Amino acid sequence: MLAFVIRRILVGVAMIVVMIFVVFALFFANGNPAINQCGKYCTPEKLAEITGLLGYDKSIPEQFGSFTVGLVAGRDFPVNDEYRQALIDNGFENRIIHCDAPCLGYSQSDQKTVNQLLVKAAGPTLSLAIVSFLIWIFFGVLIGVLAAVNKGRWLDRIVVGSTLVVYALPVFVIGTFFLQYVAIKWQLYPYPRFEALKEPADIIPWLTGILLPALTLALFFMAAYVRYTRAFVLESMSEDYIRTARSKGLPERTVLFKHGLRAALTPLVTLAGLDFASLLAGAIITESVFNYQGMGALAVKANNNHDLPVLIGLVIVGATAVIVMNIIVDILYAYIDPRVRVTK
Amino acid sequence: MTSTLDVPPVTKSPSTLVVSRSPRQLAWARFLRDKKTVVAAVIVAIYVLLAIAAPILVALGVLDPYGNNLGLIGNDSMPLGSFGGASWAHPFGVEPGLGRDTLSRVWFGLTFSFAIAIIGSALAMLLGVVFGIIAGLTGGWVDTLIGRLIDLTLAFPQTLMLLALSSTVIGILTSVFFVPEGDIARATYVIVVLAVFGWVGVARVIRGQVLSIREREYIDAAKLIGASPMRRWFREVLPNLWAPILVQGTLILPAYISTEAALAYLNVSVSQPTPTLGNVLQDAVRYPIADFTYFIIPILVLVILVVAFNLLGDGLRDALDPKGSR
Amino acid sequence: MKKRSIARLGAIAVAGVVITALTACGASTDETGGSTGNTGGTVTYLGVAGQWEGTDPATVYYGNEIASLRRLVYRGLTALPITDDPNPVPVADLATDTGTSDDGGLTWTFTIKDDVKWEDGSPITGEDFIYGLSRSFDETLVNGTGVGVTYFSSYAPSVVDAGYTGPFTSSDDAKAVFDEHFFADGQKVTYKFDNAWGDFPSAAAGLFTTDPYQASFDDGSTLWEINSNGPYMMEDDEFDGATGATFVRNPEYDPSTDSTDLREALPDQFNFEFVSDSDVLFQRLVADAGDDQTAFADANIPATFYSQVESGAIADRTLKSTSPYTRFLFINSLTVTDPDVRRALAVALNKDGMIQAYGGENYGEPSTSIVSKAVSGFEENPAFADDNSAGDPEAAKELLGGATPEITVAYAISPTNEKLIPVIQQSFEAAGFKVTPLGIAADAVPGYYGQMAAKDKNGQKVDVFLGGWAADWPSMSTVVVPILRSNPADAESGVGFNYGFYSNPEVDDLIDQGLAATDPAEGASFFAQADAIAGADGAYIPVVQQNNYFLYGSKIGGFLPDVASSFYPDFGSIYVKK
Repeated sequence: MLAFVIRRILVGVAMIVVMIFVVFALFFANGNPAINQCGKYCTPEKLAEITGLLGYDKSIPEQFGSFTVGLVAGRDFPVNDEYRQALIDNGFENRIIHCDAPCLGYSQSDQKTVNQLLVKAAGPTLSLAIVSFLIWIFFGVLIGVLAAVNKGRWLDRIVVGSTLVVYALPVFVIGTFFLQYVAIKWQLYPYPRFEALKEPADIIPWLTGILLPALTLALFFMAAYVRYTRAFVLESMSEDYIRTARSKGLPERTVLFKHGLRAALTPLVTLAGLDFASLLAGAIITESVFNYQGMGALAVKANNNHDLPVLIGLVIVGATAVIVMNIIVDILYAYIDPRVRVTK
Repeated sequence: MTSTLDVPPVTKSPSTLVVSRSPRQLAWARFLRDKKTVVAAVIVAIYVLLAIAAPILVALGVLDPYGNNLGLIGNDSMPLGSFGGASWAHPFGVEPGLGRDTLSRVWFGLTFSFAIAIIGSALAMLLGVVFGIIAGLTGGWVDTLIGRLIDLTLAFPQTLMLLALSSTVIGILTSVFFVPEGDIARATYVIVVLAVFGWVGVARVIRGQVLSIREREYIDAAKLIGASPMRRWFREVLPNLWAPILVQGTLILPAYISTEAALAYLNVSVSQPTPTLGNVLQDAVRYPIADFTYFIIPILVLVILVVAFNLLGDGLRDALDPKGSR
Repeated sequence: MKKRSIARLGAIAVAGVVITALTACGASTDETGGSTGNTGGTVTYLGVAGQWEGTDPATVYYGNEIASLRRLVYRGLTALPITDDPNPVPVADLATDTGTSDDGGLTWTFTIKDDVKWEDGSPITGEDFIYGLSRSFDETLVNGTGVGVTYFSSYAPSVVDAGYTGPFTSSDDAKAVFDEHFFADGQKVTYKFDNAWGDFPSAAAGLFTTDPYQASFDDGSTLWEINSNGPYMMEDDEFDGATGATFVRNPEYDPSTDSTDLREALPDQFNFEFVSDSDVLFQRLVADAGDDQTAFADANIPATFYSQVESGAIADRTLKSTSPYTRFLFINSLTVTDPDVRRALAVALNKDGMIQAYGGENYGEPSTSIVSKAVSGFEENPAFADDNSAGDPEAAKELLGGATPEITVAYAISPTNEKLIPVIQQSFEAAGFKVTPLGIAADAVPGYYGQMAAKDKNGQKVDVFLGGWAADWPSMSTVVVPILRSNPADAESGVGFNYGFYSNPEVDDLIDQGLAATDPAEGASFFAQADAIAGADGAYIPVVQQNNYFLYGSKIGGFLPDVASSFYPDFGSIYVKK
């Protein structure tokens, strides 16, 4: 088991390195990135100055090297050594930004280290991911089970019908509806604003603020999970061992929860883990509709500004989340289902 | 596609489908018995016909997706008259801003969305089936390698990458691969994205199927040593895979149409004035209150299509699987 | 099109400004709600996410941002008062008076008030003003416009020529030159220019270039920080360009050091709240629910909302006024060289149709100049005064004499411009032109203006292209100079805003005379003459004189777009109605 885990981790790290390479290479394929930091009155002279300041005039392998060094040992910004020396000579050492390891980089346009930006964006993203996840798991599984148990009857039909429709609605449509109709026009709900959760007293404002966007995101997954749960439960309920359990005279409830649902849980857990992980990279569309400044919004901004350090940081965080989740799920799966361990 | 696009994956169920060896007539009979599925099939067929008909109608001048009707627009950029400016000439009204005929744009947009989705899914299916079969049949390090490749693809923060890479990749497409600039390049990018991220789900399902077939055919395996195994396996295995392939294909198409809509919202898909369901919807979603007709029409068109396709896919799956009691 | 105004490029603020009347429509705004009965409450300022690029005074240059910060947190040497007077005169703010000059504007001295403080309680010293000025010379401060450099290159060229680039990077020699020109002695601050700057006090009022900056505050990243010396201070550590900030009362602010002519400071709190787009913003203002009743915005009502705000009770919450914005078409003087062709283009253009595409009469009216009516010294440009605003294709055909020149019209792709282009195309084609539209994508790199600024238009054939400008400083110099003064001979891209590369020595001459004039009216007349010549020469085609069309919450009082705030609503007069 341990060897398995270690191998997975190593492979994961290798994948992250590959991805960083890809982003780095493709980033520079798009022309001099300094132009985006040059401002409104960009002249060739100013562009050259900014290019030097940001270190974009060094070769790509060299920049990659500095980046790796920063990751391990920390780095100082701005990157240009002469500029930093000039700052110290002029008595402005406090304008030098010290970025501690692991330093993912520095965003010139935001004047913050990537780590700071990620931490700031983590709040909305985590809030969205967690609340949304709880909603869709709870209601998705519950409704799915209810539908499976009532298969063929009107409850089941309504559920299946409505999940199909919800599943078909794009997220930005649902989000816009919630924002413009539910919150603003009909005033059924206060205008959603992100309130950070810093102390327990903040819970109510936090929850109030996160509910609509979380619901937007959750509805979508909920529909899918209702379908999955219903399918898995129905499938496992038709297995032979269920018939055995029934014929043994076990109450239906026990049959359902002890045997049927448990079998359905394994694939559900796998899927849930992966879906949750993917949300940690930010839900771009939802965040954009509600103007929530999570990782998704950060990604859009970094993309528009061609902010390489931020993009790299986001790739690392997103990929790590998914890879870690993958490993956890694999381990869980192997743990729950011994057959998997054997065949692996 | 995985969930970073806020679009759920097509299907990640690893092995819930067990291919039956019932003759096609049995499956067909089961299919027909389910009223829902038949209706869904009819609706899908209608949509397909509409999508095929649109370019012809546009060429004939019956549909006009590009013409501006500024006279039908008031000073406030909104269509004159109720229901988004509906009239006999414009049954679904006209678009705010330029007054283009909504029916024409949605209808013609259907064609483009379908085209993108079909090509994308065909590519994804092709890649998925090939890799799935190879992985399932060969096993060993090849299987592991493909598994790693799948993991790598899934680990990508997809939305971020496709946003960040869009201009670069489109640039590469136009300069290195001589794809015509503009709409075709952007459409190609969307197709590439769909295929690159979509083959994974298909591969997993196919691999699972191949493994289960293989288990059952292990006796034949002994016979096949000597004869060119790969070829015979492909010939043996593929025919048994038609059912999951059909089902998968039917299920990923609507997901791709939805994905195209999401990509349009992010300004990655084909841009105006060429219509796709996605970019018409992207514009329509700006007027949920001011022009409800224009808002709801593309949504209805999209939802009905996706629901029908999913129902059809479910029905196919049920028809081809005797055991699952759906 | 420039949606946001850029501060005072190369401008001279002329002390007396003449503006045609601000027309208030519907609302009775009590602009001096000075009575204490109006104190208290929280006002929400709604904006669209992503427009602010920083709150470091050395980097702020959008007109509305300068206006709001000037009233809330950043006091200057002088400031313009809250008033609907079209000719406001600067008054003393942190200085004891509006400055003295004994040599006709070459040297200015100010004495800083003794009891003015930063939000941490430390006193504001003369040295702070010098430090603040020095920072504005640093163009590498993020999005630094180097406004200091732009201005002072006209009035203190020796500093710029010495290579002064701010306090962090300048050589000792350059610093010495700077220190010779600008220095402080206790509370006394002295500015020595190479060329006389007659109305330096007005420039000090309207820009942050000469504002003080506490050296000890300049630590680490300052881009989104605010060190206040005004009636309010920021509650958060940082201003968030995507979500906004909260401003509460500053306990270190002493109203007796200030004047209610500048800052009434009635609300207890200002919430800056940014939303994802202007549709959401205006939905909220229209709905006027809960806290939004005490909200306002400085964005113009989008055309799609006109039908919702034009009548009924909601119309009482709207305000229409002449805006400093005009829109026009540049003519590329390098490619369209035949004056008859240029004249034909101007004559053929259907301005009425374009205005309808923009939004109709709520949006604006046909203009006859690139200069807005709201600007001092405005005169109708005689070259365009008699033109038919619906276009006259026949007259244009005559001018062309049967020729059918090929014209490419460039524009930035947007829903509005997609409506405009067919109108432009039809009107030109009716006169015989062959028109090719060229749309530049919103996410193109370089962007639309970046491409149009280039002499070679980014390698594309461009003959006519859309443009817009705002004189947010009410002086003709801020329009005529950037747009019509010829670019240097070796310039590869337009200096200022002369993207059409128009070049006429007669016009340049008049511009120089205008800049040198000490009497504002005289200066304005020189600029008007320059505009008339350029117009007749076909340098541009004026299209529309924009209106401001604002909407605010039902409990907002003191809503006053005035000169001091560049015609945006003045934060100094806003209060919550009981």
